[in-house]
Amino acid sequence: MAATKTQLLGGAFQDSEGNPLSLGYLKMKLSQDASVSGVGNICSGIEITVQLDENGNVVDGRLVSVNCTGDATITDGMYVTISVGDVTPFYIGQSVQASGFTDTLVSINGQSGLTVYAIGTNTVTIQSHDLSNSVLTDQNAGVLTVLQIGLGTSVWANSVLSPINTYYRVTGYTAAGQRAWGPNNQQVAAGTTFNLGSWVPNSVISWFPTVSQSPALTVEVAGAPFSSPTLLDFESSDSSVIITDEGAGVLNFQASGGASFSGKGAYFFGPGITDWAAIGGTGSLQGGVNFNSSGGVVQVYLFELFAEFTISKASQLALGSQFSVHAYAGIYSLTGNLLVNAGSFLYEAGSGIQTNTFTPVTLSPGLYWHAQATDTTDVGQWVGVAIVSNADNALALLAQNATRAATAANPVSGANLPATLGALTPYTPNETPRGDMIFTPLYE
Amino acid sequence: MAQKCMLSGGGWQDAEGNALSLGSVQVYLQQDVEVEGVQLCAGVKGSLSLDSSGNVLGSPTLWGPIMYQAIAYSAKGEKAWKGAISVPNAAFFSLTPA
Repeated sequence: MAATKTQLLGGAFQDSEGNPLSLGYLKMKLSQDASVSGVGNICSGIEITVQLDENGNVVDGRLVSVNCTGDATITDGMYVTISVGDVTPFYIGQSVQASGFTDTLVSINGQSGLTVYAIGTNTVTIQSHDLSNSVLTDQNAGVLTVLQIGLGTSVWANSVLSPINTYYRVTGYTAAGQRAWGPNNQQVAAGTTFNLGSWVPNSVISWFPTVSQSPALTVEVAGAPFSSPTLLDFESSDSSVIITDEGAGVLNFQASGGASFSGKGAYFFGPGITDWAAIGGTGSLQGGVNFNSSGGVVQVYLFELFAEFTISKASQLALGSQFSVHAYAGIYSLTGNLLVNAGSFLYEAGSGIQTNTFTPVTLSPGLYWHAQATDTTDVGQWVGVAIVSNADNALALLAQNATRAATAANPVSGANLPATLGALTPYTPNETPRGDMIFTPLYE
Repeated sequence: MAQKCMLSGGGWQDAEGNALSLGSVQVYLQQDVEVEGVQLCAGVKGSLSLDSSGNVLGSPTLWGPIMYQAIAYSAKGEKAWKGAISVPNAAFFSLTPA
């Protein structure tokens, strides 16, 4: 036996204040073409309209036929539909004409403008909203023959459609045409009637996964059977790949940006220096480089960290002494926020190598500001990079198109680097007249 | 051996059950096909007319067994349905889903 359609009821569509979507309507569009066995092909390209009554419910049609050769009285609770021939259903106040028909004027409760062109035994259906206790008047008595009152709306339930997993895309509108609800994906359950009040917006009633369970998926690693027949867990043991379950069956693999270093002797000097040639070769970091800067002013140098480092210590060595002079170092984000506070180092050669310990900080590969400061203008000799005269030209190039060396607006405060750098004023490091240096604590 | 197959039915309708009255179904091949010494040209699209019930009008015939692509249009020219029609190697075939 072929399936039958399901009549839509209820819904009580309303706004958040409880005002019904009075005389509004729903537009429903099937998600895909489908078929009903023994019935036909259901076309998804045609959007259907479902009228709502003054309470925001689907117009509760009643299949009542009234044979009428004159006036028809519409009793309480009836709804009336008018259409002529293949003309789309229309409403009070709208005039239509079906070709070949002669005039029959119909009025409802004396409302003018409702003109139906029909003749003889042709079927006239009338659609409007609640016309309780109205009188439908055939002003050319005798030619209005049949009234179908209150057809309501019946649609194909999704469960009788083939293929599975169809749904309706439903949008609710006010009587004025303002979109009020949805669009939401909904399904209609099979049965004589279906109450739209049972809809959970954008939630379908049934959905059958289409992933085939047979034959079973075979998983291999480089051609060899995978170690487990029941578990497939994606992990990155060295965190070099970030694996994210994006949902909806999507797994995202993202390179974490390179290797990651933490402990085991991993280190860098100052602005990311790990090259042994720079550390110990010709032109290497030097001991006893003069720290030339204004007291309390934070100097910053842009550097690129090519791998992830987790650091918790900073060491420096003073190559001279002066009572109560300190140097400071740290690392700031590109936007100027303090990430690593390496602490202060006393300018006292007798202290030997000074190591400050701080809460471990993980720096991802990226751009950072190396920061340095001293509390006493132009005092101190430390391990660092001495700017030499033949580097002046290269450093002039380095100053082009971007700020890569600068002084920060925010000074050292209370023997600590500032939390933020503030505005940066670019400068070009050079040997003369000031003799700039880059202070290079060992970070590890 | 291929043969021309007489089509009937179809029952094209919208979700409300309104027939695709007086609409049409455009049928075409995905690629050129040779059948019984006849060259069927994919570039030429055929059209089946629908009656007031959304069934094919008259007794149109198509070569079978061949899979055709099909698009159904309403009488107003609105694209309503798209699918495939598999015409069997038979004298008659109903387009109404079994």
